[in-house]
Amino acid sequence: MKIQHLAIIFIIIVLPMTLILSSYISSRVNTLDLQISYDTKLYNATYDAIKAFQLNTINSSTSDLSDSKIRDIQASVNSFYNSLQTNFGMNGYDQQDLQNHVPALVYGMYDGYYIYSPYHNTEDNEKNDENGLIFDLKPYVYYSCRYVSGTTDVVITYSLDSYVTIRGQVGSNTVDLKGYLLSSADATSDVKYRNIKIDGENDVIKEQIIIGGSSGAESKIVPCRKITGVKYYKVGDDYYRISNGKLQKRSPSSLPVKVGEGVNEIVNNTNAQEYYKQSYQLKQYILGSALRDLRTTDAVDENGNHISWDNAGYKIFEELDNGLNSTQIEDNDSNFNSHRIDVIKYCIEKNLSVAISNFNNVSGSTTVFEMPKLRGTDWDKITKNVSMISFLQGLGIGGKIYNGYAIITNNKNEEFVADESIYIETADGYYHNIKDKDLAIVSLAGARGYFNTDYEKKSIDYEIGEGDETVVKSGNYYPREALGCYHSIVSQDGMQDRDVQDILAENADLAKIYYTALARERYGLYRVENAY
Amino acid sequence: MENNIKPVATKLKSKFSSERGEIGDSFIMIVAFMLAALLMFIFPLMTMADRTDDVTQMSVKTATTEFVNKMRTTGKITPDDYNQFMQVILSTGNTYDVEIEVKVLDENPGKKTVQVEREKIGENEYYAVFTAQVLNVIAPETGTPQTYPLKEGDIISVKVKNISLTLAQQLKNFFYTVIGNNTYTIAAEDGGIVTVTGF
Repeated sequence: MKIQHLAIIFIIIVLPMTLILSSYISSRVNTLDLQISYDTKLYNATYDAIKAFQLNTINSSTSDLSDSKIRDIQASVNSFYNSLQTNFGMNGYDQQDLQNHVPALVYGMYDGYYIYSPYHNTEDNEKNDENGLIFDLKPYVYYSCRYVSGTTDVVITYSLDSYVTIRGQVGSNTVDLKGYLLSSADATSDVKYRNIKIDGENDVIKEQIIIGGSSGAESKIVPCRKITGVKYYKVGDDYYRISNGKLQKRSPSSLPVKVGEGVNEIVNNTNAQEYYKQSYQLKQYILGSALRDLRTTDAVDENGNHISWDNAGYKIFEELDNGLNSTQIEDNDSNFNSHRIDVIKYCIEKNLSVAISNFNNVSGSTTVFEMPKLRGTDWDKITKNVSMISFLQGLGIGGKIYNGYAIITNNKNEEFVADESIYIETADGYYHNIKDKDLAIVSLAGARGYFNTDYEKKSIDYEIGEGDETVVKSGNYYPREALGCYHSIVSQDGMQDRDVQDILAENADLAKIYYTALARERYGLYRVENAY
Repeated sequence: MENNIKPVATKLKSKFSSERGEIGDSFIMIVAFMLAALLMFIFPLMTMADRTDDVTQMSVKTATTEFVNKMRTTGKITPDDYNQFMQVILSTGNTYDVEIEVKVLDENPGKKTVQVEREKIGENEYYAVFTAQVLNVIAPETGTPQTYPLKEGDIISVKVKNISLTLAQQLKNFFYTVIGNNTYTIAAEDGGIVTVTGF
């Protein structure tokens, strides 16, 4: 056989192999390209959705109420599908196609979560489609767990921080307790937290609003107090609140008197003190009752079977009695916090896996929908922030089926006040992050802490003119006028890479400002269970 | 005399003609060998080198997108994430130029005026922070690496391109000399808006 023949045989063997291999690699590259592009599209759509939720909650004083919250979330769901459709439009998918590939959307809220997925609405059949299904929000599910031990049978609802509600039987008593668990709250004489005296805030908490009038609109800085999620303002001798985006005048008798005795409570803001008092009372009750000995291993499921946790069993409220030198129950490294995270994971996983597997019965797709295993870092995000989890499954990406999810968190909303949500406003007209190195240098005289959403732009409708010539106009305003510090808010290059509690332990003045603001803002939030 | 000359001339003619044929065959053989070598070794080698670049490109692109998505959803650039990203792209056997750009959102200019009437938009400003400034925090030459925090609304972008010549580039340079030293074949770029403020 001549050498030329060998060469030809070699080429006949190698050339097709090279071509096939090259084609295979190209198709794999395209598949991965598509997967990456779908991941990014899903992230973007999820971000658009949670941003829509954020904007709606910030601009709505009633966003905490159940109907209003559901409306905001439904608007957010629409944003998600609109964004997804826009992003996927080039790939030939419309909203209907995409809906058949989104088994569930999860909205992680403060003390529970919503799942958006198809279900049979047995109460109102007219809303169902021809298959008897409706794509909508399912009822709110709390992060709650039942504990049975001896004569104690209670349901504890957890939240994104140390706020709990405890309902059920403790011995012969029926209890309905709620409040923040704080180891070092004290209200025996002065109100104290971590040995720092907490004072009331009389005529110091003020905010900017826009008020319309016969001659035009003007912005004013007036005393303000937030009670059960709604801000009340005192303008001259009149009282106002913002409802449905409008400033509404209120008669003094209609103002909430739940907190104090009279209308002056708007000016004399005692939210911070009330917060620690409530916490102290809760602590005293728990430590003086059988709840003190309640263990994580006493948890039972809906059938009464004990739930096994990854963490070893311990007393849930044991750390409530700890001194300042030991771990505080509200700290991130506490046993209580580990158990809180376990309960949240258990609640979400249980319902979500059912919702996704049920989607197989209703989806027109041939794909088998399964809940992906969320990583530890994902749970870390979900259990610390308001979050949204979106799933997109079953789309063909060339030889593979796409199965992705995205988790986007949000820490600037009216749902809850995180430790990092309090900004410190100094007398020089700038507000700082609590971890700003400058706070150890600048003067804290006249400094005060505020909630981060108070520095966000808000919109309001107001009336100008008189009689028949009255017109309604819209304006934007910032409740707090201060500018963001360039080292900790705008660029964040002056931040300390340390825990907030470590920073506060070294600066008592800053700690007092911070703990007062955190308590004031948390106490002002809407916290009524069963309102969802 | 004439009769003697003719056979000698014919003999010489045939001898020269035979030698010319042998030289021609050898030339064809050399060309055939070169073509065979080209087809049997160089062509598959170049094709495979090209495919290797495709795979590397895919790997670098995936790593870049994952790195950017992580920064966007956590609101920070951590030294660990950066080192992991570098490890992944360097494991492809090439060296890369990585450019990180953060467009920092500054809302202060828009806050300086209260808009009683909602007519103005777009007063926010962005200023850019580039690779050297970011690396000075997350991978400093001296000192401890620290997390570079981002906030919601910032825009992050990462560009990666190879600065060492890949095998495919070297072969192409050798045969066609169409690729200069400063060109790159592996490049990835990704970016997006930061979705959460990192602390």
